[in-house]
Amino acid sequence: MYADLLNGRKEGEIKILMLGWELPPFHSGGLGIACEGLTKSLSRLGVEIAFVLPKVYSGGYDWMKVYDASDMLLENGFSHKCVELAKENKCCLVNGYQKINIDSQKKGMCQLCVGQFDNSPYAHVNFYTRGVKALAQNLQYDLIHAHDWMTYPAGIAAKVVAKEKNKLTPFLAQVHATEVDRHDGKFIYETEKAGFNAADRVVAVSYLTKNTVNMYYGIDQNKISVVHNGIDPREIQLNPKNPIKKKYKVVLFLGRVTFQKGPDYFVKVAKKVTDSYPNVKFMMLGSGDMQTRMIEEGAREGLTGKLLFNSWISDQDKDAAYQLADVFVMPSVSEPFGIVPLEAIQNGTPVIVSKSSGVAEVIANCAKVDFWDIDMMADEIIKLLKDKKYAKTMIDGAKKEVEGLTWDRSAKEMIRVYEQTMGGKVYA
Amino acid sequence: MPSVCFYFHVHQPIRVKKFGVLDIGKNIDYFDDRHNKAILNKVATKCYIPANNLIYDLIKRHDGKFKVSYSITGTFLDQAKMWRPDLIESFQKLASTGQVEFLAETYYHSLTSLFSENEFYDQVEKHILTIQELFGQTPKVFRNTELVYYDYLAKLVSKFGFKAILAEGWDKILDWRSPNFVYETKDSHLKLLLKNYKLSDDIAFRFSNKAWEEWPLTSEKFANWIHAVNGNGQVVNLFMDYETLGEHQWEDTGIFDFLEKVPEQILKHPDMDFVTVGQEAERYPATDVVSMPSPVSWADTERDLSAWTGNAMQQSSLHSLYSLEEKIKKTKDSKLLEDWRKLQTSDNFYYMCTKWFNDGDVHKYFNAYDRPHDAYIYFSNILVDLIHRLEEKLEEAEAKVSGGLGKVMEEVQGAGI
Repeated sequence: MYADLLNGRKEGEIKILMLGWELPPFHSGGLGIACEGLTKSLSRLGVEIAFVLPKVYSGGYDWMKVYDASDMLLENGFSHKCVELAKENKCCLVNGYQKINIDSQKKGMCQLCVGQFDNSPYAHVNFYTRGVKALAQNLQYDLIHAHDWMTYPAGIAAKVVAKEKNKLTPFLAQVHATEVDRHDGKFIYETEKAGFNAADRVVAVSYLTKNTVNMYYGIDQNKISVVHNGIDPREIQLNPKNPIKKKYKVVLFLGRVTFQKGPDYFVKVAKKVTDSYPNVKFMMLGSGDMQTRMIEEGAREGLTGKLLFNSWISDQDKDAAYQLADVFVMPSVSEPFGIVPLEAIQNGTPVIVSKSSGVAEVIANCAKVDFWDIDMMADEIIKLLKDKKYAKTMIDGAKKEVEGLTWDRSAKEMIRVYEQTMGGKVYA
Repeated sequence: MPSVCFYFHVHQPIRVKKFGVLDIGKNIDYFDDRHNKAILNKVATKCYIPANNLIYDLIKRHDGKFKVSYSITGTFLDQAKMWRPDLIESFQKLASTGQVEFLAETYYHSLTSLFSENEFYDQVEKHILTIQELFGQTPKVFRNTELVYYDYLAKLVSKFGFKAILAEGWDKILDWRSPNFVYETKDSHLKLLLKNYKLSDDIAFRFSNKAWEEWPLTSEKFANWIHAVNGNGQVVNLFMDYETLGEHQWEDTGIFDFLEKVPEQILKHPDMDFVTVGQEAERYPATDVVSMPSPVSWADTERDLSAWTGNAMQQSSLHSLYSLEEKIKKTKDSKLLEDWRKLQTSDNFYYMCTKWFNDGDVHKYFNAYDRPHDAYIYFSNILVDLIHRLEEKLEEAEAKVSGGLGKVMEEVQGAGI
């Protein structure tokens, strides 16, 4: 039924070697969810995908072939303590997306084997690259699609492997987030930059990110395409109305509590709004390295019982939380895309998003504020809480918009980019 | 002819559940029965049962010459009644020897003396009534939660007619004076019994510490230290958590064997004897007035309130909780009142403590949650639920009032409680 998209090609004619760091249910953030959504739709549209993970924890990815980079390392006679531990599920490779710097003595990051590493600060990336290199020898692929910096070195390696077989294979580097958003370290920035330079095409998840890649990495605008993320429609289980809603309004923040997400602005706006409207509860759901500071700051501001926290929340409870909320706020300092507001909208909650977010480009029916503009954010919250008609118009419109933002739409755009890249001069 | 006074504090907090934001408004109970029951059972096996048996034996063996004093919190008694009535019976058996004295304190092991006088009176009264009912004694001596003492407290408790009050024998207050004398409170004629923290802590904290130069501590050695007070003091007050026996100092440290021999070693000296807190207050005249203008506790190296009120999470939680008093009492709803009071237990605020230096180990060991911040999260979620219930009750009452006769009826019913 997608014959029009195949442009006369047969199903499976585009073979993609896709390099990713995580897939649900073992994911730490939006990256895994985006990879799952995109590959499912690409596969539905006839694209054949070989997906390589640093470590495969479970099966069930029946829409594509999933390979394990650590398997390949062992099969090829490469042995390392870390890889052995990974095989026994004792190494948290899968958590590596957030904090893979082994220099930091953070708990949970390879404490088991860290002492036995060589000097490479990003050993997992190196292992992954070696694994992909070994795998690529035996795979047929027309294009390499790598997600974020951890997989760029492997993307470059896969291109070299193809070249050794006298095949010119384009390398597409997709950017879900950059070091400019995260501020983790220079090494990552350099890896990103090398990846963008080596890539035949860069795909950004938003115009915001395209600008970042252009301005901070010096990559030509013409080399960068934009493919926004999607969200598939789904059946939402409606929870019974919580009795506290008779008296209270709820404003929700949901996501990692890190600098990038602007939680401190949420605390400030909570103080401002509750000073005038004590019946408004602010909830900050999620954990992260800024959580304890936010809790202490809330307490200092006397927001006990007004600003509430929860460190962990199940997917099922997430829906309940969205539904409990009257307004969802994403005050991110820097958000390349930001899928969470779309989930809130699916649950019928109007959203306020930071202007520094990619999602602001695809939803018109929302309030858009500068993350630092507490006054404006407070005004918008109060307006949405007070003016039911305004809130209803906004959420009705937003719901319609979200219905159109499917992963199929993203996948179609991606296929167009694949075709342009493969049909480019160099690879004619 | 100095006396020795063993005073043990028996307490278990009623720990709260890991109460999430999505639990609010759903009529979920706040207290973690399963966890609390398991802990009570564990400590009963390690401490309460063997310690009570030993104390009973010692009283019998020494034919009334060995005596002890206990303060048992209401939160302990409530839980024991529910899950381990044998523990209550065991303390009753001790009471029946006539050599055991029970003290009064705030029923909920709270710091309410610092926040609400009315609530303080209510809790002390409730505790006195419970001790009378269970052990057939009327407490004559008062101890405040965590041994928190300040001059004004003596005035506060004066209406109960106590003879004495306990406090920490803290050097910074006593200066050159010794804790081994009985003192008097400032501006009121209560005796002040001061903990000899050095000798108390030799048992409570240092007993099993192999790095301590006096390790291993034998009963002979300890009795010698006590005998050394002879001629230079009236009394040695050994105040400590009862859980020292078997729970803080495990059985394999030899703590029970040590305690078993202490009475005979001390009584070897013909001038020495054991007294309960009330006997101490009666027998010895006050030598001086000791004033503590601001609160002194028996906790941590600072001996202040910082373990409970030191950071913003604790201050804000305490403030929010105590600000509800008037409304809670207005509802006359006993379940609501009881929940509010259980939340006042000082442990709830201790768990939020972020002082991680010298006392860090102790704090970590006694924390029911992973991080102080988690304790705060659960506590504030519960607070929101409690306020929600409170407001519902108040609205119900208001609806009744506007219904006509309601108000009169409510007053009539209220007067009956």
